[in-house]
Amino acid sequence: MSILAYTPGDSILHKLNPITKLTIIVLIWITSLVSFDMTTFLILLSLLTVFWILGKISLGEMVTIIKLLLLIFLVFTIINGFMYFRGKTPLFYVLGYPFTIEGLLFGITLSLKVLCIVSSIPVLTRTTTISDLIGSFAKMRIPYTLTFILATAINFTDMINEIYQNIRESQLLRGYSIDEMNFLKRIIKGYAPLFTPLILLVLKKASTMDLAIEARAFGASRKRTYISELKFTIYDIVFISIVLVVSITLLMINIIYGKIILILPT
Amino acid sequence: MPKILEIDDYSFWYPDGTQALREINLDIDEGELLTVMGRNGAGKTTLCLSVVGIIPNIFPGDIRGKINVMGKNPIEHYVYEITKDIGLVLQDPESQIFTHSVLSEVVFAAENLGLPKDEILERANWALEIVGLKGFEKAHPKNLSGGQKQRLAIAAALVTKPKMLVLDEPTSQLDPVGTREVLSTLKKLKEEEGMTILMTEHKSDEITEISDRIVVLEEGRIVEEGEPSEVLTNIEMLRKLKLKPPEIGEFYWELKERGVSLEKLPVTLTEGESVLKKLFERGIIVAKDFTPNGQEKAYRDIIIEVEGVNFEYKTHPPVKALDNVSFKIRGGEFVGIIGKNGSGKTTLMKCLVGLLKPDSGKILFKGGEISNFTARERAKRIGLVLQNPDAQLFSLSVSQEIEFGLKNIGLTPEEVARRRDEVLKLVGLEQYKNLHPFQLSFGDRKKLAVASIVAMNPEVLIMDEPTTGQDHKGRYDICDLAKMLNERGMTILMVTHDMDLVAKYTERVLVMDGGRVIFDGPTREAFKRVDILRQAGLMPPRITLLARSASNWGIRQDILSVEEFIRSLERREVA
Repeated sequence: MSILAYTPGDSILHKLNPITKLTIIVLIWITSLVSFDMTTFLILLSLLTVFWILGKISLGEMVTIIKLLLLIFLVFTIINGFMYFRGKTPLFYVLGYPFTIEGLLFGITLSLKVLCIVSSIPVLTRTTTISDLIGSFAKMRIPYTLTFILATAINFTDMINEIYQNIRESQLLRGYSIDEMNFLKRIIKGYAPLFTPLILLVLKKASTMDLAIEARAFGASRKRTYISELKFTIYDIVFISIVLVVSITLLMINIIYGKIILILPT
Repeated sequence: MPKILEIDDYSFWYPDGTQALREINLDIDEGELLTVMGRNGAGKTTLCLSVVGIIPNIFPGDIRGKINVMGKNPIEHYVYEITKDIGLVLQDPESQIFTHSVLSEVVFAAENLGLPKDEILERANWALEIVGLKGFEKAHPKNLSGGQKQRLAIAAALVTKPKMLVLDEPTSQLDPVGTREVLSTLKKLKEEEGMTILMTEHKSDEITEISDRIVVLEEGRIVEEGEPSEVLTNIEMLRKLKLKPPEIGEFYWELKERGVSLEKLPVTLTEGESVLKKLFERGIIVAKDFTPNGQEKAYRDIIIEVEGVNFEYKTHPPVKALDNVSFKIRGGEFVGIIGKNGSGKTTLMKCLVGLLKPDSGKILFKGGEISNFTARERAKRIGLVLQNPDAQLFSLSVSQEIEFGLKNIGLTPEEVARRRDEVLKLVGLEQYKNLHPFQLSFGDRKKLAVASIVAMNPEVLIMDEPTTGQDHKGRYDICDLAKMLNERGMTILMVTHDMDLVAKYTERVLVMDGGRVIFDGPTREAFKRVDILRQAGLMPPRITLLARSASNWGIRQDILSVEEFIRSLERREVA
C-alpha cells in the first residue's frame, strides 16, 4: 500500500501538526458524508488536489486511487443508471430497460463522494511518520497500547506484502502461477500454496516482534515520554481555518438547499 | 571480579516436554565477553531468553534450578525490569525493528521507561555514537544494510544503559561486511564501556579474536568451557560435535598431529603468523613442491549466456541493481557468485529465472531468450532455491511438497511418484516422507526446498545463500548435496558470502560489486586478488591469509584449505 505509506519530505504538509491533518480529514469526511451535491464534492476534490500538490504527493497516484476504485464506481453508476427511482429521462435502452440521466448523475455523485473520502487519507498518512502520529494521539489522551497496535499494524502491512511476494516467487519457481489460473480455480485451490506459508511466516515474525517489544520495556511506565515535540504553528491555524470555512460554507448551503444525504435530490 | 550473572543447575522443559537445557552451571564476570557455541537446537536461544526472563514469563515451561541476574531472579520480575539491566538483541534484524526512523527506534525503550526527554536524547546520542550510526537519525531503518540494522538493534538495546548485553546469533543473517561491523562494535563496547556480553555464535574464526571465554552446548548441556585458545584448539571435540574449528587452530593441530612440537596451538591469525614465522626460521618446517589437484574439468557447451544486462528498481530514488552484466556459463560448471549484500547477486538470479525482466540486454538459455518461456517451461530448465525454505512449504507432508512442483509442470502420476521417490532418496529425506514439513529441522527443511526444485530435473540449479541461518553441519550438508548434483551433471550456481565454502566447492567465481561483475575467473585466481575481494567487501579464508604470510618461504599464495597448506609443507627433524 505505497499510496498510503509515509514518504519522507519537507513540504509544508510534512511540517503541519498531525492533529491539524487529522482535523482536516475529519472535516472533509463530515462534509462529504453529510452532503450530496456534485458541486460540493468537486470543490472538496479541488481543495484536496491543492493539498496533494502542497504535500508533493504525485497526482499520478490520484489516478491509481481512481483505478482501484473504478469497479465500485462503475457498479454505482450502472446500478443507479438503471434502477434510480427518480430516473425519468432515458439516455439509452438495454433490452428495453431505460438507463436514465438522473441515475447516471446520482451514480457519479456517489462515486465522487467516495473519492473525496478516500483521497483525503494520504494527506495524513503520506506526510506523517508513525511516531509523530502516535505522539499526537498521546496528546489527545488516546491510550498508548491502542495507538501502538495501530502503528504496528500499519508497519506489518508492508512486511506482509514483502513476505507474500517472496512466497509468490518461491511457488512460481515450482511452475505455479496464480496469474495464469481462471477465477474459479483460483478461489477453489489457488491460494492455499500462497496463504499457508504466509500465515505461518507472519505468525513467526509476530512472535519475534513480540519478544523484541517486551525486551524494550513496552508498558513499563504509566507515564511514557515522547521525544517528538509537536507544536502548533501559524500554518496549522491557516490550514484548519481554510478547511473549516470551506466545510461550514458548503454544509450550510447544502442544508439550506436540502442537498444532504437524508433528503435525496429531486 | 563481581559476578553479573550466575546460573545454578538450571534446566528447562518446553510445554511439549522437550528438554532444552540440562543442569547448566555458568557464571559471567563483569566486563567479560562470553560466547556460547553449539549446533542449531543445542539450546543457545533458550539460554539467552532464560537470562532475560522472556522464558518463562512469556514463553512458559518447566524450570529447575536458578538464575541470578545482578541480584534478581528473572522469574520473579517483569521482563522490562530485567531488560532495563540486560539488553537483548535477536538474530533477525528485520523483525526486531518496528518504527519508522533510526532515532525513534533507538529511543523506544527509554520512552517506555518514562525517562526525562533530555536524558533520552543524550543516551540515544551516546548509543548511536558507539554503534557508528551517528548522522542516520532520520533514516528509515528499511534503507539500512543488514549490518547497520543489527547495529541499530544494539543501539536500541543500549539506550536503557544496561550492564550486560545478550545477543542471540547476531551475525547469522549478515554478510562478511555486516559481521565485521557488528563484532567490532561488540569489541568496542567491551573495551571502551566495560560492557558484559553474552553472545551465541557459530563463526569460530571471528569469535576467537574477541571472546574471553567460550562455552560449548550440546543437547542442552555444557560440554566444554574455557578460553578460546583451549576450547577452539580442541579440534577433535569440535569435529565430533560438528562445529566449525577455526582454520588457524585446525592447521596447527594438523601440524602437531604430524609431529611438529608446539607448546600452545594458536587460534588467531596474528598468533598464527608469528608461530609460522618461527617454525620456518628454525627450519622445523619447509615448503614442499605442491600443485593443487586442479585437473581441468571438461565442461559442456554454453548453457546460459548473459549479455549486457541492466536492471533498475523503479523506487524513489531508483536503484540500479545490474549494470551491464555479461558472462557465459557452460554445462557442468560449479560457479560461485559472491559479493556483499546489495551488490546485485539476488537481482541477477531473479533475472536468470525470469522472476525479473531486465531493462535491457539478453539472457539466453541454450540460445533461446529466457523471458519468452512460461513459468512452467522455465521451471523445467533452471531451478532457483530461494533463501528461506519456509516461504514455500505448505503441504501436509514431505512427499506432497515434492509432488507439488512435479504436478505443476504437468507430469503423469507415475512419473511424479518415480521422481519423488528418487529425489527423496537422493537428499536423504526418505525416512521423513510422511512427516509434516515443519516437523523437520531448519537444515532438513532447506534440503526439502532444494529437493522440490531438483525433482523437476532442471539443467541448471541456482542456490541463493543456501547457508544462511544454518550451523556448520547444515552448511556442509547443503553444499555436499550441491556437489553431488554437480557430479551427476547438473550445472550449479551458488550465491553466497561464505568464503570457505566458495574456496572448497566452486571452480569459478563471479565477484559482484555495485551491480557489476568485477571479476570472473577461477576461484583460486580470485583469492589471489586481494584488491578485488576488498572492493567487494570480502576476505579470503584465514588459511589463505596465513599461507600468504609465508610466501617468502616458498608457499603458494593461492592455498585455499588447511589440507592444501599441510600438503605443501614438509617437516624437518631439527637436532
